[in-house]
Amino acid sequence: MRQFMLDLTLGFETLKKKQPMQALSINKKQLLNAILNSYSQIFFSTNRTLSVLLILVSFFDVITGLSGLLAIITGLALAYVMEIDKSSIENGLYGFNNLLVGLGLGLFYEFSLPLMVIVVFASLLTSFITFGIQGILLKYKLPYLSIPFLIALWITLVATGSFSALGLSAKGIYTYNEVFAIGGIKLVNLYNTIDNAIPQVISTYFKSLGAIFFQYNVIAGVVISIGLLIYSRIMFSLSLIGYFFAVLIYKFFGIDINTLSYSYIGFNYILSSIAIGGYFLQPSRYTYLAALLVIPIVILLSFSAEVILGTYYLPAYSLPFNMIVLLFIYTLRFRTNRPKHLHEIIVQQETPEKNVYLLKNYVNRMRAYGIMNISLPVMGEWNINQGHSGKITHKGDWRHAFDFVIIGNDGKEFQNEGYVCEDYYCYDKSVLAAADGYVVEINKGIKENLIGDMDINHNWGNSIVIQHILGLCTQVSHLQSNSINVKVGDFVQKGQVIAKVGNSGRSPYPHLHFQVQSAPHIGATTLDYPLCNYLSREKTHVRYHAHGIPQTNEKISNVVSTPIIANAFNFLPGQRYTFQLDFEDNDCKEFCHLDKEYSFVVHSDIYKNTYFLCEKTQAKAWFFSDGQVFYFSNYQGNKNSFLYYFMLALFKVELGFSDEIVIKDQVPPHFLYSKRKLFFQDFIAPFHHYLNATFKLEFVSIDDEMAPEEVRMKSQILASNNMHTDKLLKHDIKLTDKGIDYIQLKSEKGSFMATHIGS
Amino acid sequence: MKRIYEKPVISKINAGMPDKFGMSNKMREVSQIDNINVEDITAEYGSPAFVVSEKTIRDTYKDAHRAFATRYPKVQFAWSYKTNYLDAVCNIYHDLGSWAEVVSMFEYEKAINNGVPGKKIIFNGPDKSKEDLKIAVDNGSYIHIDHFDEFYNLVEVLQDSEKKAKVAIRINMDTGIYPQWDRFGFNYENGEAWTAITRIMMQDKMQLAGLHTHIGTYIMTPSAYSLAAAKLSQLFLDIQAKFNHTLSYIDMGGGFASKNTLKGAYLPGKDTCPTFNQYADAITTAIISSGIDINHLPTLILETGRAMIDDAGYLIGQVIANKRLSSGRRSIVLDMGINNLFTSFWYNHDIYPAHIRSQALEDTAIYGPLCMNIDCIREAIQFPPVELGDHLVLERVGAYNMTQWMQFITYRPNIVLIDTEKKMHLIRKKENMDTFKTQEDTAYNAQ
Repeated sequence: MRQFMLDLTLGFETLKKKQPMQALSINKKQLLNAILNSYSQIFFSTNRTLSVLLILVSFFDVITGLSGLLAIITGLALAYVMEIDKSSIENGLYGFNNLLVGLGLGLFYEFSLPLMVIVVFASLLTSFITFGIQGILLKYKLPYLSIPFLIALWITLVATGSFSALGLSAKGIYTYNEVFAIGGIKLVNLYNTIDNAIPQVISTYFKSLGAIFFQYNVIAGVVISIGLLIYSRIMFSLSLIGYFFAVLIYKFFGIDINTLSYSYIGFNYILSSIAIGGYFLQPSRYTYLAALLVIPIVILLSFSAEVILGTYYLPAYSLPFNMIVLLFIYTLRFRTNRPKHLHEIIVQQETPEKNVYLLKNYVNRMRAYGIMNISLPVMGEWNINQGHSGKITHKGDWRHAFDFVIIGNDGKEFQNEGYVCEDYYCYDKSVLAAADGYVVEINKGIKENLIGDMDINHNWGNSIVIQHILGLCTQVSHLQSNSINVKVGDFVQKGQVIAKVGNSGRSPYPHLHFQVQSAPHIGATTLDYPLCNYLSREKTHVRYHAHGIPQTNEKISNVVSTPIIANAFNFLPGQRYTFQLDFEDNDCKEFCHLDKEYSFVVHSDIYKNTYFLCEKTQAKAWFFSDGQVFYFSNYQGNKNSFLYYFMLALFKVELGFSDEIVIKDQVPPHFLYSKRKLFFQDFIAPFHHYLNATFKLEFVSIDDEMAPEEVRMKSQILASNNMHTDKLLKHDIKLTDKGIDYIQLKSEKGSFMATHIGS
Repeated sequence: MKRIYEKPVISKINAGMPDKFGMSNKMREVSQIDNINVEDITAEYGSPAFVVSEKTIRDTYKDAHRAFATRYPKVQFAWSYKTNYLDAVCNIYHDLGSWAEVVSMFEYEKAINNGVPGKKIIFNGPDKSKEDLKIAVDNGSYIHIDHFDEFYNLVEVLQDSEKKAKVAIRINMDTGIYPQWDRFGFNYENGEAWTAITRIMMQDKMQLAGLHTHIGTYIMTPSAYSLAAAKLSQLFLDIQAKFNHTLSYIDMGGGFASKNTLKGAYLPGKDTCPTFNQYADAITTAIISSGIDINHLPTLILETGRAMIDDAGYLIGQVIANKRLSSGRRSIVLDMGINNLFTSFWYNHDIYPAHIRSQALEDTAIYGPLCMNIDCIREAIQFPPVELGDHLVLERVGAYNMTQWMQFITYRPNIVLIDTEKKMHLIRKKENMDTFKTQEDTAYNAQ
């Protein structure tokens, strides 16, 4: 069965590819990035500040630091020689395990030439194990974490035990010696002061953090925690939560707290909490709860691992962390229903905060995207007379189904007396394929019922099942037998007429039964799967739904896209758009950071994610369009570009003209607020957002609905802190048959007019 | 009610028995229109009077729209002005979303006057002067070219114009029905239509927006529409293939039968005429299965008039005489005649008494008030006895009568609209002597 995880294939990349065309040659900048990222990757990050601080920490002991660096360089060299995917190398994915092995060895043995040679070969071993483990775990879509490090270091330590050229070192045992080596007696005194000033429970937290880099001392821990805080408030708070909750559990079970301070165990709680609470899942109150729940399990794993591995004189290192994270994530994949909480993050942003801000909206925006859009299987306005978990037949395994009928002017489903099928408005109406796919099963030849009769023996009546992708099918039932104009194996296009509504099977009066299911056979268990891009009408009020589950008695119809609008937002890779900016009265006011002219080029990456690249600032605005709705999904880079305002003005556009609907959306707050303003918001981001930004778009006019040449829209961005407005941008937009003509932006202080002047 | 003396007649008893077509021989009475008593209407607005039901207009429009919109993604109705161009009526259709379909500058002006934007007017018909064409081009209306001379005129008009004209051609074709309306537009089978399309495509200032056909009137076989839609769809594809040009619409015109009964028909129209669903099924199935990309289907325009409004119109009047003809046959004379009821030339209109005195039906001729022999509403109808001043109601007179009526011998009557709240509104005043005084020039006087 297909996993119904949140499959958000959004348009992001986590690294900045500057010169992708220089194949094979080793770019210095890429190499530097790869080395730096190998450090920060230990905290799942590519943050510069964090890398620098971590390098600093690793060089507290110069030999350990050097041996770590040597291991990284060896690993990277191998990866380059093998021509591994450059972006993965640059991201440090083939360096961080080597780094840890290098650090481990550097700490364990005295400096010597044989040690350096061993480091090189141990690093090569680490790389081989990395590829091996990656190959295995890839099939399960799981990360390899630091498993290669564990295996490689254990192997090396066991093997080198009898290498007499390597002298065991006493580093990591006598902290004062090491501190003295770095800064003499003064530093020892300072260290003592710090160590004594803070309670043991806190100093152990710092030591545990330092231990991740084999630096079991408070100063290393303090530096790392500062790096974490700068990088991510969520990760920082999770590191505290994980650690201190473990301390509580130690007390509860009566475990000696000293075992925590004299072993390399503490960081397992920290890393597990970060990974589950804030990295692999979209941070929320539920992931924080999960992070707490796994701590006792990590304790069990830690103590048992210590005992078992202790027989070989091996430390457990990060084994508990690796086990719990992999098991936990893999377990989530077994959920059969569309998950409401604990969403896996498919494409990582730079920080967990950005994940929260971006994904908060995406979960609402497009739960179904990335899998497939399912439209209504009918044309015109229909009424749901039995929705999900309906009172009549939509129960149990079949509860996620819809019954469609048409309601006439008088509120009834039929005209005349309603004694014959033909009296029913829905009877004989076209049934459409809800999405592209193959017809996989057909049932026909069942005769239609008289009104009021039911054919329980042929429950579903004449039916068609279309498989859209593996694990996602739709079924339409109670059709007219001779109206089915497709065969098993046919490819059907979305919107294609496949049959007519009838009254066969368990159907006392004509209606269309429609359900989404995972298995390709008639009557399979239904899926709770949203329908996309439809309008619902209540009297004269019309609402647009990007997706949703229509409720019983909702009157719904498909959105029909307007060619001029669809055309204006059909941005094809390679196209170039140049906008000229004119400021009102030549006074730029708050927009002085902008130039007079900007050009964007549409790009598409290898995963066919599309983005605009601003030629001046190299900023990227990622967008998505499925022909019915266009929206921006992310913005990366410099905001001093018209591209930034372009994205805000057109954040989400439904591609069918309707002056009755308002398109609303939420804009991730980090698009509008500075890092400084977001600092406190970041801490509570998984729980509450007090900084919010909303987007609203309305169509104003269309000059001619049949062959339009001009469409006008207006949109608005409102950033607010509770009730207080921080920023208000209003846009007037004109589209012509040649595309976007102009965007006029007005804020409270200034305004400008951006005219599209060609390529 | 006081029983009134009537001469004895001998007739076959058939009350309550169905005739050989299965039709009941009982007469029903129509005492109310939209819950308003017929007598109350004439008391306020005189007799005769036309009555238009807004509720019926809206319900019928929604039925028709639903029939198409649940089968085809993009549907646009255009109200056929000639069917009924009373402003109040047109505005109901425009409120429902209809565009305007006009066939003369008079109707064009009426549409503009009703607030219809030029871009939502379809200009049909064989009679468009250069001046008319210029106005239509300036307003961005859709011009449906009827013949080559109009095309040449339009070319001339466009020479001095900065605007592009949005045009379509009207196409006539063999759809298996008789008579074939080949007097309008360009013929499909002999290639004239394709010649016209090619010529238009060569014109820089003309944008070919769509294709139009109107296969006839009162068409009782939906399959004719199916053929017509298939032929237009083929042209749509040919234009796409040859000129890489995608048309915005296919206009199937009108001609849907209403529920009136044609003279000479055996069975009543309400039993034999196709429903909107049948027409819609024929047309949409043909277009959808023609091979046009289903994601880029052209808008389907419908200009049906008669079937939309016929049911909403009533004519009410009173008996002004009971007579026996020389043959002994009964006849009655009403205050409403063919001057009000142009359609009685081709329909056997349903006419009902507001109140029935007796079901003893008798073969009756019903005449109008004109001093002209042709003024006959029904030559023979089984009708109950009526008395002087009794109210009679003619149903299904909404189409054409309020436009094709004659000012002949007497004034044209009031037209009353009953709105959806059951309130009456006078939407066209009865004529009087002043109507004529404003029109006639009295400068010349022979005396």
